[in-house]
Amino acid sequence: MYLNRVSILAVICFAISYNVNSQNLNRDSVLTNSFTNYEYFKTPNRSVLSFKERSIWYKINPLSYVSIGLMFTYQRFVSQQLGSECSYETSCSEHAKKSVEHHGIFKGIFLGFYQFQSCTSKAGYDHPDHNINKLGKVINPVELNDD
Amino acid sequence: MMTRFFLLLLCPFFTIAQVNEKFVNHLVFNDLLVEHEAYLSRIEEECGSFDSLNYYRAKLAILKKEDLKFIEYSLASNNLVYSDTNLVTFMSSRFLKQSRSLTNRWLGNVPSSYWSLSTNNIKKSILLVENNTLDASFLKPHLKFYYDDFVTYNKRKPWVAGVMSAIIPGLGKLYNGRPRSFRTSLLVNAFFGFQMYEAINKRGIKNYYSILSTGIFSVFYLSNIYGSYYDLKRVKIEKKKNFLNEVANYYKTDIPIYY
Amino acid sequence: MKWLIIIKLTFLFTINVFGQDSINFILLNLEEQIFFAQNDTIKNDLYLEKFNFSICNNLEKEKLLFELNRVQEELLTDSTEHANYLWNAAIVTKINNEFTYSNMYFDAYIAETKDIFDDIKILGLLIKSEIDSAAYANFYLEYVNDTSFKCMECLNDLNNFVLPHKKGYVLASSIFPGLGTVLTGDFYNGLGSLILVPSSIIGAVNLWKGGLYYNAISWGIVSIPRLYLGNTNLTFEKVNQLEKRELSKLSVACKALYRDMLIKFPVFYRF
Repeated sequence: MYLNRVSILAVICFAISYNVNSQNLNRDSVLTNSFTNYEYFKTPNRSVLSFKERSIWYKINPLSYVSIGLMFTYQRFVSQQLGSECSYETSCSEHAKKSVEHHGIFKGIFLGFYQFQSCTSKAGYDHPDHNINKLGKVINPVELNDD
Repeated sequence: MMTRFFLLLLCPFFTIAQVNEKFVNHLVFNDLLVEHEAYLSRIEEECGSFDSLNYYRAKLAILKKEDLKFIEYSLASNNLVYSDTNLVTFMSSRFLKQSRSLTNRWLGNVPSSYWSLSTNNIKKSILLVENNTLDASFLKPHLKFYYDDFVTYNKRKPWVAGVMSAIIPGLGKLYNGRPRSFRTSLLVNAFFGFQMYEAINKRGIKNYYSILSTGIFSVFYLSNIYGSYYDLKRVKIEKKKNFLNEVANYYKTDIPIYY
Repeated sequence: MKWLIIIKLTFLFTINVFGQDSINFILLNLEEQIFFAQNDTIKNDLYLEKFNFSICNNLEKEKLLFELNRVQEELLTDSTEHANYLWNAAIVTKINNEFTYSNMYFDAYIAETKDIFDDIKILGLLIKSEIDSAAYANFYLEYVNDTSFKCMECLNDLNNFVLPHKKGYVLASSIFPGLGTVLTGDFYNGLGSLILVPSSIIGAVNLWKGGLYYNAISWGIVSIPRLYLGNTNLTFEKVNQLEKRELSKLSVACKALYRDMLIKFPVFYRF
């Protein structure tokens, strides 16, 4: 008799739990999009040039630290003063930084300045369509992908 | 007693002998990916995995843009996916736009007896870019234009671009097929070159400003040379991808995979 | 036999209660019923059931909007069901930033039910503040008109907030490079402008005096306008950032007020 009541109670409980509707509207979801336009996110600072993936020679070479300092000074203090917009997806200074990290100091600097010389508003005309992203900027990866 | 027990347990399970294609089309056209996935999962739970289920799973993987899963399910479908010629052509064209290795992997799985003319031509185009000596007569005229463009740039030597840039700054860019950049490069180098010339002329080579001007000009001049040399490798890859993209666009099928 | 039935029923219900997979299977079952439905009225009822089920199970807002768009309002005959649909539709469209539709559903709800409880007032104020200040003011005067809701005007004030003397910062930077940037709170960039602009002018003048005329003209033409205009553009960007920072601070306070009101008068979906 007791077991019958327990079993019926268990079945009823499960049946009710199946039919319970969620009444609780997440309060924040109603509020959030009213205030989304007013949220302020500070633009994160650009990363500093590093030679982590390079040999020990780069870590003891004073020229590495000079290049780190110059790039840091330019990107933090001078770049915003010029008010220019790059026609490449990765800006010229950022491309130079990544080239230096990937190829080494001299080759990296040369490739960075090479892109700088090509950086005009009409640079996209020299590249095929599949190299242009949706914003109209030229995609310029540092590594060549021949696949 | 035991019979009743087994009958009771089997009651809630009803078997679906095959996938309802019209229902799947209804789910696809209403963009109900969650329900679509659940439908195929339910069939798999109840009846286990079978060829036509893997075929539908492969098509669902296309909608969800999961290329590797598509290849996995197409292998598991026991040639059912490959027998859908339209699907094979569609995916060959799609993979070609992404990468050659993925296309080769996909076409390696598809038996050649299931290749349509378009798939055949896609494979020939891939072989053509890897070995220029093969016959290119199967290409249509406008594809032949892109192929010839690729062959022209493929024959060019990076050291020639470097030497040309050394003679006239920016000429290497013209050799690389970047005419607008040539003008900018020439102007920039001329700008710094004249500055250096005036500084050395009026103040002599040992003046700090002359050294600075010379340094700046040298960096731009040398970067032009090395950049032209390196850029030609990039240009060759671009021309190859351009040609293969045009091939993919030309041979893609207009018949939708769901209808 | 009795125990077998109990075990089987328990098994069935537990499958249906737990797990995301079970939700997907229920969605699938509903969709199958929709597919096999004989007429539009039955289909519409099933669309509504699926929409309500999606709400109950807190599915993604895009999925809720998708299910909402499938329901045909004109085929809903029951007035309570219709009213609940309009209320839920107002919330779902609001969450999805479709404020025009949200306003339309909300107005239709009020026209149908003539209710004006506290949760309705709050949702109405949230929706009307996204339309324009006139809609907000009209709604407040007509339906709210209660001093306990006065604090909620902050959202309307946020929409109309403008940073004072915006042009003054840019003018300051035009006269004294870097001053406007410093006044917006960015000291280092202001200092950078202050150093770079005059030094480029001094550099060009020194080159001219030293007899390097081409150098002076070329550096002067390239660097001076670029740095000067870059300085004013930078000030303009920094002023916009300052305005966003001020708005952000005000919005934090306003959001807290709204959150307190929603705790007192919570807004629920209706079934």
